[in-house]
Amino acid sequence: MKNKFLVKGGIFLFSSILIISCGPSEIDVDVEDPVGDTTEVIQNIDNDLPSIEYSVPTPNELFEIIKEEGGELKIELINPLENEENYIDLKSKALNFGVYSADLGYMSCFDNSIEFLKYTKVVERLGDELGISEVFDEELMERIENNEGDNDSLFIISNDTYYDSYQYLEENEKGTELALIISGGFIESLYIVSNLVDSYSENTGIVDKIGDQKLVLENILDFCMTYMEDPSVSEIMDDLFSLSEVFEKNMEFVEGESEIKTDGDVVTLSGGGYFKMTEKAFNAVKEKVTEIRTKITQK
Amino acid sequence: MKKGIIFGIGIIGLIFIQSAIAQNSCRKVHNFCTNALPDEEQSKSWSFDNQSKSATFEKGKVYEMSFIAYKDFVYRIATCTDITEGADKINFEVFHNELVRKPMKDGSRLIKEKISIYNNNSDNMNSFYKFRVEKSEKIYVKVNIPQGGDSATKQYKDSEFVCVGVLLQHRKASKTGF
Repeated sequence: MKNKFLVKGGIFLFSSILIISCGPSEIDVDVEDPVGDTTEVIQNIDNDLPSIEYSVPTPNELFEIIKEEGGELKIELINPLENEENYIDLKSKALNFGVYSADLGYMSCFDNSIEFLKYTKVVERLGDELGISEVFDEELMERIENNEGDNDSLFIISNDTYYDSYQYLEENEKGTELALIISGGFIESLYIVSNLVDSYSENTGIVDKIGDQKLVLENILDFCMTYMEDPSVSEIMDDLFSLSEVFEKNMEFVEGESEIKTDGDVVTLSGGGYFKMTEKAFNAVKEKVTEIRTKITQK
Repeated sequence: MKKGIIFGIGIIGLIFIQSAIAQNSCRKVHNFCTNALPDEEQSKSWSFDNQSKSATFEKGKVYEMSFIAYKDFVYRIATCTDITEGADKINFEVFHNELVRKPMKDGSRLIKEKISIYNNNSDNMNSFYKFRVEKSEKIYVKVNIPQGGDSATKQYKDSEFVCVGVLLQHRKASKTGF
């Protein structure tokens, strides 16, 4: 497993620093995992390449889209409150801080505020132990109490809390905790969304969005790479790499030429080769993410 | 007793230093990027995108960030720094990935190419860029931090560092286009 991680990690790290010159414009080249052959690629490395900061959408942003696509609330999918007592080490606390935060986003997005305060209290307790108690100040708790039953406000509050925690950890150089929280939040939201669909059906909004998570996962892995020396981060990266592999091996690559069109003052990027969800990919991703999620929450 | 007092002073000192750092950091500098937008853009309704970034960065260097643009959304990118004077025009460039199959010696392989899709150098140093994607994509924004000027943030005043922000906003694209 460790070897697999090092090889995959090496590919990611290498891919993020590759650059070649091609004609008059500079083009960075990043080698995808081979879809056809496994030919070795020789590239020039530019040491002046700036390091990149990777952002990912919050779980709330995904749930908002899923709701528009016809997603619904399945309360049995969220992580039970009782599991909190099992999270005693930093790794499980941070991962499940992300899990419970995603649950908060899901509940408030789908108009269920009954358990909101209880889940916020769990997130607050885990946050305290991770050194982000500042985010959960009196003002936040007052906002929640004053907006009890107002799902739109609770949705905004849960998003703000996740975002403020993220900002706080970033500023205070708690990258390890941040990498784990983001990973936990991602796994939980993908687990929930995958389980909203009972069986695969081509070109549905939710299935497409599950496929889009391949891109989000790439940015999470690139982000985590900075903190991979920490064993807890490298362990979750092993799981994330195996999930990434499931996406890549099972999705279908569709060839295409990209095009840039201008309509008024908005530019539209269309076409281009892309990875498409298939029934095989959907089932494999659902199975893998359920396995990882169980590992994180059933500690 | 004496030990207790010293410990107490130490704790208070730590709290003071921590709060001073928090107050002086580049936190949410991206929120100020709307200031450089023309009036007609400021009045339009956009949702804040949580992938927006702020960072401390060295003058004269290139700051780069990456985010995920979802299909059927229109995005507006605006960049800014906290440089007090002469930095209202900041150069930035936007890239996306293209996956192309390239022939190799013994077969073909998928190559991910990072292609420039916009540079405000050739658009009168416009302070924003609006685009939509027909399939979800990974987007990169490169910001050239100006060489001169001074940071408005107390912590970085008279230093080689400034705050940089990349504000991302989005809204649902209408099915009929714009």
